[in-house]
Amino acid sequence: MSLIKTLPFGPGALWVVGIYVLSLLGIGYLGYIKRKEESPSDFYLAGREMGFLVLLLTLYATQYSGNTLFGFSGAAYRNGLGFLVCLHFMTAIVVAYLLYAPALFKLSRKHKFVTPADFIAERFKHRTLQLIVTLIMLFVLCNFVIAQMKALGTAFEGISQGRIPMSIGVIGLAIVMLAYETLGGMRSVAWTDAIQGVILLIGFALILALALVELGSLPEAVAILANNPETVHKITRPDPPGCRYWLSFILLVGFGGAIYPQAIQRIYAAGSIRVLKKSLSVMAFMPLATTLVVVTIGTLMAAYHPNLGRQVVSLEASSNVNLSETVLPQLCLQVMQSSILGYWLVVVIFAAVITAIMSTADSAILSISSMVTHDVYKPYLKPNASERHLTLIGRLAVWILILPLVWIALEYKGNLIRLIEIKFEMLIQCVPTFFLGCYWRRLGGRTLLIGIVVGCLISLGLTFSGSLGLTQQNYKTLWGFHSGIIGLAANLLICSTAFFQRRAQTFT
Amino acid sequence: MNQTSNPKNRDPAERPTVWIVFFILIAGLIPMWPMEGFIFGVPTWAAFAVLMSIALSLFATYIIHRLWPENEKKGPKDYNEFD
Repeated sequence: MSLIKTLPFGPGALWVVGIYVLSLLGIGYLGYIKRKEESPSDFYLAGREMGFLVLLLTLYATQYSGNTLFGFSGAAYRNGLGFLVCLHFMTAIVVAYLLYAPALFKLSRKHKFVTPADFIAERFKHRTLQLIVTLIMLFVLCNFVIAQMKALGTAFEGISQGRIPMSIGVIGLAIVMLAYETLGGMRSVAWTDAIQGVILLIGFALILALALVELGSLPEAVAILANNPETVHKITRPDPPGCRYWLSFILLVGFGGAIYPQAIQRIYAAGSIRVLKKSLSVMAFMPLATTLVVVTIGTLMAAYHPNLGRQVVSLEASSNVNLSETVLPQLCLQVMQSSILGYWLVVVIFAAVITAIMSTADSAILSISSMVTHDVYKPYLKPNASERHLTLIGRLAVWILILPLVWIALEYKGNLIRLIEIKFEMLIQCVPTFFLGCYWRRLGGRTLLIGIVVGCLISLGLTFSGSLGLTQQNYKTLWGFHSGIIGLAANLLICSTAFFQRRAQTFT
Repeated sequence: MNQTSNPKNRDPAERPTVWIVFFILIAGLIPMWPMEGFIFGVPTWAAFAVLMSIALSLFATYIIHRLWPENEKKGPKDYNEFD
C-alpha cells in the first residue's frame, strides 16, 4: 500500500479541504459577475487588465505545481544536492521570459493577441506553422493536465483515506475546477490562483520549518551523508557528464517553461508593461523560496531516513509506488504523529498540495480551451463566428475536452501514457518561433517549420529509438544532453540558414 | 524604420552585453569548477551554485528595471512594415 494512503488523516481534514475547494466556486462566481463583456479577450485574458499581485501569484501558482512538491522532493532525496539544478532551471524560466516578453507584450497590445498562435499568424502569416505549433502546444497541455490529474489522485488518496473513492474525488475536484473556469474564465482562474499561490507559499514555509524542527539542520545532514559511503555521492560535486546534464536541464526547462501557452497568455493578460515587469522581477526570486526549500527537504530526508529507497524498492514490486510519492508523506507522517499542531499543519500542507495541482491544471485547461476555440474552431470550422459565440464555445470546450483527459489520467494504463515523458522535448522545438521570431526579421515561417519538424523527429527518434527497434536502448539523453536539446540544436541550425536569405519570408 | 537604432530603446535580447553576462552567470551555475571543502557546513560547490543563482536573479531584476524600455510607442518592430 502506498505510504500516502497510510497517513492518519481524520474526517476533519477532508472537511477543511472540502470547504476550501467549494469556496473556489464563490470566487468563480465573483469572476463571472465582474466580467466586462462576452469576448475571448475578456474570457481568456481577463480583459488584459491584470494587476501586479494577481499576475505575480497566478504566474507563481501556475509555474509551481504538485510535481514541485512531490516530484522534486523525491528527486532531491535520490540525488541530494545534485538536484540543486532545479533552483537554476526555475530561475532560467524567468531569464528566458526577458529574452522575448518585452517584444511579445508590445505586439500583443498592438494586434490584440489572445493565443500564442496569434503571434505566429501576425508575424509569419504561415498557416501550417501556426497549426503545427498549436498542435504541439495542445499535445503538451493535454499531457500536462493528465500528469496533474494523476498527482491530484495521489494527494486526494492521502487526504481522504479511502472515505471517498479516488476516482470520485478527482472527478469532483475537476468539476469544481471546470465550474469556476466556465464562470469567469481567466479572471476566476487568476483570482483562485492568487489564493492558491498564497497557500502554496505558506505550505512551503511550513514544510521547511517542520523539516528543520523534526529532522535536524542542513549542516548536520550534510555531515551524516558525507560519513556514509552509500550516501556520500549525494553531496559530491557532479562529474563532467553530470555537469552537461545540468546545462541541458537548465536550457530545456528554462526555455520550455517560458513558452508554455498559459505563460504566454499571462504576458498578454498583464494590465501594463510596468505590472508585467514588477511581477517578473519578484518571480526571479521565487525559486529560492520554493525549489531551494524542496531540495533542502529532500537532502534532510536522505540523511535522516536513508533507507526510504529500500522500502520503496520492496513496495514497488507489488504496486506502482515510487519515491516521488513517498518522501513528503514520510515527513508528514512523522510530523503528524508528533503533536496536534503538527497534525493540522500537515492538513494545511496537503491543502497546499491540492491547490498547487489545481492552480496548475486550471491554467492549462483554460489555454487548451482558448487554442481549440480560437486557433482551430474559428479558422477551420466557423470563420465568421461572433465573439459572443466563440466565448460560448470556449466555455463548452472546457467541459468536452477535459473530462476525457481526467478519464485517461485515472483509468488508462496503455503504452501511450509514456508520451507524458516527452512534453518538454516537443515544446522546446517551438522556442525559435517565439525567441527568434520576435527579433529576427529574416527568419521565415517555412524555415521555422522545417526546423520544428526535424527537431521533433530527432527528439522522438532518440527517445524511442530502442522501443522502435532502431537501437539497443532508448536515448532520453545522449552525452548528458536531453534528446529535446539535441533536436533543438538541429532546429536552430536549420533556422540559421535564414542568414543567407535576402529578406523576410511572407506567406499568405 | 528600424526602431532599435536608438540603443536606449533596445530590448534586453538585442543587447550583446546582456547575453555575455548571462553566459558568464550560467557558466558559473554549472558545478564544473574545482571546489573542495565546506562552507557553513555545506559543500563549497553547492554554496557557490546557490550564490550564482542569486546573482542570476539579481541580474534579471536589473535587466527588468533598467534595460527593459517601457515606452510602448518606441518599439518593437511591427512586422507588417518589414516588407
